[in-house]
Amino acid sequence: MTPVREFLYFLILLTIFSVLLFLWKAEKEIPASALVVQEPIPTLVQKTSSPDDTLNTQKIEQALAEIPATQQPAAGLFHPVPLIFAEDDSLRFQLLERQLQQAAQSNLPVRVIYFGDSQIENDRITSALRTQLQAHFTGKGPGFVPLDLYYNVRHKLHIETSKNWEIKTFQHKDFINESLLFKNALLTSANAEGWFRIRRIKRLNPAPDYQLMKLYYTAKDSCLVTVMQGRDLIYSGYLLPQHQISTLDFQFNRTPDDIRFDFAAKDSLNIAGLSLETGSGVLVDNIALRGLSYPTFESSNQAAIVQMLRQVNVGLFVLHFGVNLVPVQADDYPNFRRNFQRQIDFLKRVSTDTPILIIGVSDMAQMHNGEFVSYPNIPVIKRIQYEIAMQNHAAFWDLQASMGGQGAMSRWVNADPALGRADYVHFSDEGAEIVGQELSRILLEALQTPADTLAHD
Amino acid sequence: MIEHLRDIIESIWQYHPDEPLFYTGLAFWIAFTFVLGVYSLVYRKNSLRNGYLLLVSWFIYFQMSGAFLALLAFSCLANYGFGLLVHRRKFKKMWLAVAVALNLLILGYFKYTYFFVDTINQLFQTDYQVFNWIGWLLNQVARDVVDEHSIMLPIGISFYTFQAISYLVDVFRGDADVVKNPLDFSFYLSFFPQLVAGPIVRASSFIPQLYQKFSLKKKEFSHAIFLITKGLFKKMVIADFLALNFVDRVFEAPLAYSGLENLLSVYAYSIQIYCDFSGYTDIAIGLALILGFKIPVNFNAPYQASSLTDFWHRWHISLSLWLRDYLYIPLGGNRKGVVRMYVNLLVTMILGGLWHGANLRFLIWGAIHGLGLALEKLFRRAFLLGAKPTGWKKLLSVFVTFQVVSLAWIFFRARDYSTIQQLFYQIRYHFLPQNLMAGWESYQWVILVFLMGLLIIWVPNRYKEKLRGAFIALPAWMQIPAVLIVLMLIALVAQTGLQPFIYFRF
Repeated sequence: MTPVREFLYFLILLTIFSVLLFLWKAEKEIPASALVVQEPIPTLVQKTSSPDDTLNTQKIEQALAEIPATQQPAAGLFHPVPLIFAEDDSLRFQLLERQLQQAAQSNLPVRVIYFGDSQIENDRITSALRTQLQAHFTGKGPGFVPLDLYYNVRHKLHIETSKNWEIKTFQHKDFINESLLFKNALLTSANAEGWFRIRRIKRLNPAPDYQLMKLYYTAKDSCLVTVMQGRDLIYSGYLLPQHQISTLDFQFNRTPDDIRFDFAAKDSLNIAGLSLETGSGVLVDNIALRGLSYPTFESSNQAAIVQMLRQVNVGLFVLHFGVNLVPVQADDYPNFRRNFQRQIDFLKRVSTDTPILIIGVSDMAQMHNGEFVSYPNIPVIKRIQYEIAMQNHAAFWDLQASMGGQGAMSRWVNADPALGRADYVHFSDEGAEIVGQELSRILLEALQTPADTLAHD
Repeated sequence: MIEHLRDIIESIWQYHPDEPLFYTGLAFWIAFTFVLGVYSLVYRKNSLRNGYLLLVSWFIYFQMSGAFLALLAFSCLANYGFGLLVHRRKFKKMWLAVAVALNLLILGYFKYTYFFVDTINQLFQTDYQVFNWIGWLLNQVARDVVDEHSIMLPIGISFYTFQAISYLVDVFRGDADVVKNPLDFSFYLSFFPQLVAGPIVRASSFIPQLYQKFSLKKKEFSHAIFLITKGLFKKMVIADFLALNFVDRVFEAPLAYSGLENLLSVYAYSIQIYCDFSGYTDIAIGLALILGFKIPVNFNAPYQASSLTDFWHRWHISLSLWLRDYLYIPLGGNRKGVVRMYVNLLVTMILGGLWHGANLRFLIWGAIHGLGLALEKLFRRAFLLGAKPTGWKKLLSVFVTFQVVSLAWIFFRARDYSTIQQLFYQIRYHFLPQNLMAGWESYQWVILVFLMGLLIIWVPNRYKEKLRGAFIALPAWMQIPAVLIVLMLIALVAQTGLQPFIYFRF
C-alpha cells in the first residue's frame, strides 16, 4: 500500500460522503420562510383582541417600543424588560405595595405564591426572588414546602419521611388533589403510622431562618402527634378530626436544627403541606408542577384549596408556565387558552383583589441543521399568555425578550458560566439566579412607581 | 455545496479558537486527504518525510491551540538540548533533574496555578489573584498579545510534557538512544495523531521508526480504516449522544431527575468517557498507521477488568505504564516493604489523578483508585486470592470493579461537591424507578444508545476480532460503502435534535 493509493482511497470516500451529505441536507432543508420567527411583541400587541378587550393597544405599543431591541445583547445576556400592565388597570400592584409596606408589622406574612413548571423546580428562580424581597420587606423561610422527601440548597435543609406516607400529586388520576401545593401526604387506616423529620445541614453552616412551622392538614379521626426537637420531646397531643384544612403551629425562638414529627392516625390523615416561615415579612412559595402548562385548580378539590388560601395573606400570584407547550407545534392553542383562563378565574374568585403576574414562556431551542435555533411557536404561546394577562388585568413579563429574544437560550447555554442547561430548555442554577434577581428588580421597580403616574403616562 | 466547501477550506487555513481542526469535523478529513496527497510525493525520503510531517503536526497544533505552538516548539528545542546534555557523561543526574524540573514547572504553571492559588486562598483566607508572568513578559516584547490576568491551558501539554520526561529518563537510563537531529526529536514530540490526547509514546518504540522506510500492508491500511471508523462511531454516536442527551443534563441538575436516572447517568458516563477517550485513541492509532507509524494500544476492554489492578492494565495503558515506570518504581515500588508499597500506590494514584486535572475532585478520584488498589492487594494477601478469577467469580468481580470505577467517575465528572451530594441524595431518597418506565417513549433512543454502549464495553474480544477480520478481508470497493454507511449514521446522529426530557415534559 502506497500513500498514493491511500490518498485515492480517502479522496473517493470523502467525495462520495460529501455528495451524499449534500443531497441529504438539501432534501432536509426547510424553506427559510417556515423558520422565520415573527418579532414577538409588536405582533403580539396587534393581534390582541377579545370581546372584553378594552385595552388601548396604541399606548401599550408605545410602552413596548421603549423596550430595548432584543436581537443583539450589548453588554450582558440579560435585557431589562419592564412589566406590562393593561392600560385600564389602575390598581396594578397597589394592594401588594400596601401589604408589603406593612409586612414587617403584620401578624401574617405576605405571600408571593409562585406557580410554575420544572423551570422553578428545586426552588430555582424563587430562591433569588425570595432573598431579594425578604431583604427589602423582612421575613425568613422558604414558605410552603410539600411533605415529601425534600432538599433545599439555599435554605440548607432537607426533609426525610418514613416510607408509609402515600404521596399523591396531580399526576395520580384516581385522586383528587386537596392541596394548594398539589402534593398530598396521606396516612390511612391501613397504614396509620408515619413520621417526617426536618434537618438543617449543619455542615453547610445554615444562617438563622424560619421560626414558625405550620402543618396544614385534614383528619377523619383523631391522630396522635409527637414532636421531638433533637432529643427533647416538645409536644405530644391529639389532632382532632378536621374535615376542613386546619393548621398545627409551632413557634421557636430560633430555627430548629432537627425536628421530627411522629403520627399515629386512627383514620385518614392528609397533610396538605408545611409552611416554614416567620410571623411577618414576606414569603415566596415555590409550587413547581413539572409537566403542566397551568395549575390544575379545576380538577382539584377547590374547597380545600380555598380553605388553605383563606388562612394566608396572599400578596401576589405568579404563574410561570409555557415550556411544556412549546414542543407541540401549532398556530393557536385554544385548549391552553381556555384552561389557563379558567385557572385565573378560580384565583380571582377566591382572592378578587390579589394581583396576578403572568410570566411569558422562556426561550427554548431545538437542533435544526446542526444548530440550535429557537422554536418558531414561542411568540404564539407568548402572545396568548400576554392576551390573557391583559384581559384579566394581570401583569405580564416577557421573559424571552428579557433573555435576549430569539436564539437567547442557545446563547445562555453557551455563556460562561452556562446560564442554560444542556437540554436548551431549563435555566442552569446561575441562569435561574439571574432570572430571579431580575424579576425581583422589576417587581420592586413596579412597586416603587406610583400607579397614578403610570396610568397617565 | 460550493459555499459550504469554501467555508470548510477557510476553516482549515484560518485559526478559529472556537472551532479547532479536530477529528470530529469534516474539515480535518479534507485537510488530512490533502496531507496524504503531498505525503505521496515526499514519503520516500525519510528526512523529507519527517520534516513534512513535523510541519503538518505544528500546523494542526496551531489550528487547535494558536500561539501555544510557540510553547510546544520551545519544549521540543529545550528537551532536545537536555537530551544531549543528559546523554553526556558529566553531570548527567544534574541535567536530568534540571530538565524534569523545568518540564514540571511549565506544566505546573499552566495547569496548576489556579488550583494552588485557590487552595492557598481557601486555607489562609487570602485573596491572591493569578497573574500571568509569562504573558507579561511576552507583552513586553509585543504589546497586548496576552491577557496578563488569566492563564490558559495549552492543549496537550500534559501529554507532551510526560512524553518528554519519559524520553529524558530513558536516555539517562540508557533505555533509549539520544536523538541527534532536532527536527527528528521535534517530530517525535509533536506527531499530531497522538499529540493532544495520547497515547504517551515511548521514545524507545517510536524513535527507531523515524529511520525506517515507509511500509504499509493492505491489511494494515484496512485495519487503520477500521480503527478510524470505529473511533468516530464510538465518539460521535455513543459518547456525544449520551453526553448531550443524558449525562450532561443529569449532572448539571441532579435534583431534577430521579435516583434511577442519576444512577444510570453515572453508568452512562462510564460508557461515555470510555467511548470518547478510546474512540480518540483508535483514530490516533489509525491515522499514525496510515502515515506508516505504529503507536501503542491504549485501551483493552477496561470494563471487562476483574479487579482494579486489572483495570489499570487495560485503561489508558500508556499512562499506567508511565506512572509505574517513572513514579511508582522510583518511589520504591514494592521493594521497600508492604506499608511503603501501599503508600507508594496511593501517592502514585493521587498524582495520577491530579495529572488529569487541577481540582480536588481529581485528587479524590485518584485517591479512590489508590485506596482501592491498596485494599485489593491487602485482601488478596490476606485471603490468598488468585489473580484471575473464573466462572461466576469472574462475573461478580467484573461487576464489582465496574461499580467501583463508575463510582469514582462521579468525582471526575461532577462540577462541584454540591452536585455530588445532590446525586447521592437522589439515589438514596428519590430512586423512583417507575419514572423511567413511564418515560420509556421519550427515553427509548437514549436507552438504545446506552445498551449499544454496554454491548461495546462488554462484548468479548473474540467477537470484536471477528468483525475486524471480516472488514479487513473486504476488498476496497466493498469497504468504502461499509464505511459510508457508518459515516452517514454518524452524520444522522450529529444532526439529530435533542432527545426529549422524560414524558416530553418540563
